[in-house]
Amino acid sequence: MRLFNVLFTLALIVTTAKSTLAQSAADYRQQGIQYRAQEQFPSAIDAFQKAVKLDEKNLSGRIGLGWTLHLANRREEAIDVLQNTIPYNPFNIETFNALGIAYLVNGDLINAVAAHTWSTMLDRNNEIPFFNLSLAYERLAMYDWAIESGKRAAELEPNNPHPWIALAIAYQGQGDQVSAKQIFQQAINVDSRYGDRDSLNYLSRAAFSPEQIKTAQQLLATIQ
Amino acid sequence: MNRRNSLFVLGLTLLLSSISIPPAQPKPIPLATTEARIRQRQDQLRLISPAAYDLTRYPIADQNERHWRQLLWATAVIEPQDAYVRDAIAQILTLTPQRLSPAQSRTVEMALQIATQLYSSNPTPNLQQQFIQTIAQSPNPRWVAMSLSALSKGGATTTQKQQWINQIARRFPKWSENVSLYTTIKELTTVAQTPPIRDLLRWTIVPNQQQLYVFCQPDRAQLCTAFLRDRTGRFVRNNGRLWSMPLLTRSLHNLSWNFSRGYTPQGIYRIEGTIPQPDTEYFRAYGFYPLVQLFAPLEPGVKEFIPGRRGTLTGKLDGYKALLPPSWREYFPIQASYWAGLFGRSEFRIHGSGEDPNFFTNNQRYPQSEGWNPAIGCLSALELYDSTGRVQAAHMPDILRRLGSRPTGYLIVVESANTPDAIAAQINAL
Repeated sequence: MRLFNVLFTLALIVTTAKSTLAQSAADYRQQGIQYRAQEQFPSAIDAFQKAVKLDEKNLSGRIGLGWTLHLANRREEAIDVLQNTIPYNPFNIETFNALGIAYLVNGDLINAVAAHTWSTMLDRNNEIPFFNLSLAYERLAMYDWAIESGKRAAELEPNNPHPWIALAIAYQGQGDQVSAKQIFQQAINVDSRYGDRDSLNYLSRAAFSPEQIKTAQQLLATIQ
Repeated sequence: MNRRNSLFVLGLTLLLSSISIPPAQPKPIPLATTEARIRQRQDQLRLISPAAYDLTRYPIADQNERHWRQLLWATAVIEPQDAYVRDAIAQILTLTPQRLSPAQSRTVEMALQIATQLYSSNPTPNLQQQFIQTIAQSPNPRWVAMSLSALSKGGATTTQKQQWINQIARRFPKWSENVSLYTTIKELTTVAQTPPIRDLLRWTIVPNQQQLYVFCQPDRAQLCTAFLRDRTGRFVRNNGRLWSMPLLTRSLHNLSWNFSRGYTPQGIYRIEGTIPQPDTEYFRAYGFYPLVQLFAPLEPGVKEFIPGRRGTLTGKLDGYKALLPPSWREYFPIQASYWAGLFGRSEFRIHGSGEDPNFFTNNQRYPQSEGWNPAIGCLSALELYDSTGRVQAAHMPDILRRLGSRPTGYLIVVESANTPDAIAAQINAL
């Protein structure tokens, strides 16, 4: 009888501890998301790190940590976390979307192309990698590839002006100014704020490089 | 999966992995003894005689296909320098303009392969004349392409090559739609600078897959060097030093990559499992150890060229280019495995060889790769036996151990003028 009691108590401790741990990781993830929404990046990173420590295999925690590090401009750490997430599931699109953007903003265009290309292989209807591929190829002066990727991104997300602008500057790079102007006008039709030169500065938040923003501003000047 | 099933799978995996890589054979292999090897070469030598090459006795007819297949293979192995051998082969090539039965065509095609081999070591006028005639008159675009390629290897001038290309373009207005003609002419007329090797070393074809790089000199008689990047993107090391492995990709017939039995095409291949050995029937050609199975991008039979997606690569040439780093996509030579798979080259493997390196006469011309045997498209690993038939040295066990018991990943063959040390330095600097 005493043995039964001991075993029962032990079992209770084990099961309770397990559920507490799982709950804590989820709690920390939730906390991380909330802090991140408030742009309190150090607190958000701290929370995600605790979540990952408690539940290493949880992809949401790892991707959340990587993405928050990216937003906090701690790019190398972000890339490291996201790279180490791949072995847990090499078919998870969110990992590669986040990793590709981190590479792109970091200026590592080759790895950005690799990560986003794999994303497109995982899902042909995933608009994020096509848009980012368009930006990466434009920076590599591979305008044919930039145009093809930009077309697909705009097709998948016609109500977002960013793919249209990416496509327009790709045409501009290729020397097709007629198409570049037409497509840029399409972006303005979707969101009239992009008819204003200063608004184009916000494109940096959408992973456009300073040179690409400048190209977009020059293009805008030709149609006004 | 319950625990019992897990244990069963684990047990099965251990059992299979222990079967797939046999230990170095302590017992002698009868086919590898000096006595067996002398007998084997004598069997080939015995086939070489003026009577055997007599076309009045053995005309190129369906019923003589077996005779010519055996004799032409013996010719490739022995490379006899007697004039009657070349005369007979040149005589067979006079048939290239004619309408032939399938059996006759197979004999003529094999004669073209052996003619290329003989011509590249000694470009005699009788063979040259038949290659020129094939370009001028044969309706078979592949034979025309093979002839152009052979003439180019035999020291043709740029002017001559251009004349033949013009002639081909007149005879075959749609030459660019024929893979043999397109790839041969494209290669002869394009001088492409190799893009940065560093881009290729850093590039991930597909995440979480190992990548076996095989760097070759443009002269495939030189040994290539393989380096392995593991699933995490790190290059494999051995006691702190970069792991590497010499492999030979030379074609016995000195044929280009874009012809059947030609040397290993550059480009990307899927690594998908192994083919078990030993099998005494195939010991001589493929050695004692399992063969690593490779698939060209468009080669049927692959389970998943891209993990998670059944079958061959899709998306045509752009789909293949997307597997390459941006700076390599327009570099024509790296597209070779794509084109080779498209026109039907298949069954590329990494394997050893049970043949004595002295078996192939033309090995003597390549002392820089002494010990390795040529192949007909595969990547050949060192495998040597002593006079009693016991294995002396074999590289396949190390390759198989590094790749894992059921290997998957990608192999990339690249020609680069860089030395293996220079490539290793680039890897170390990543």
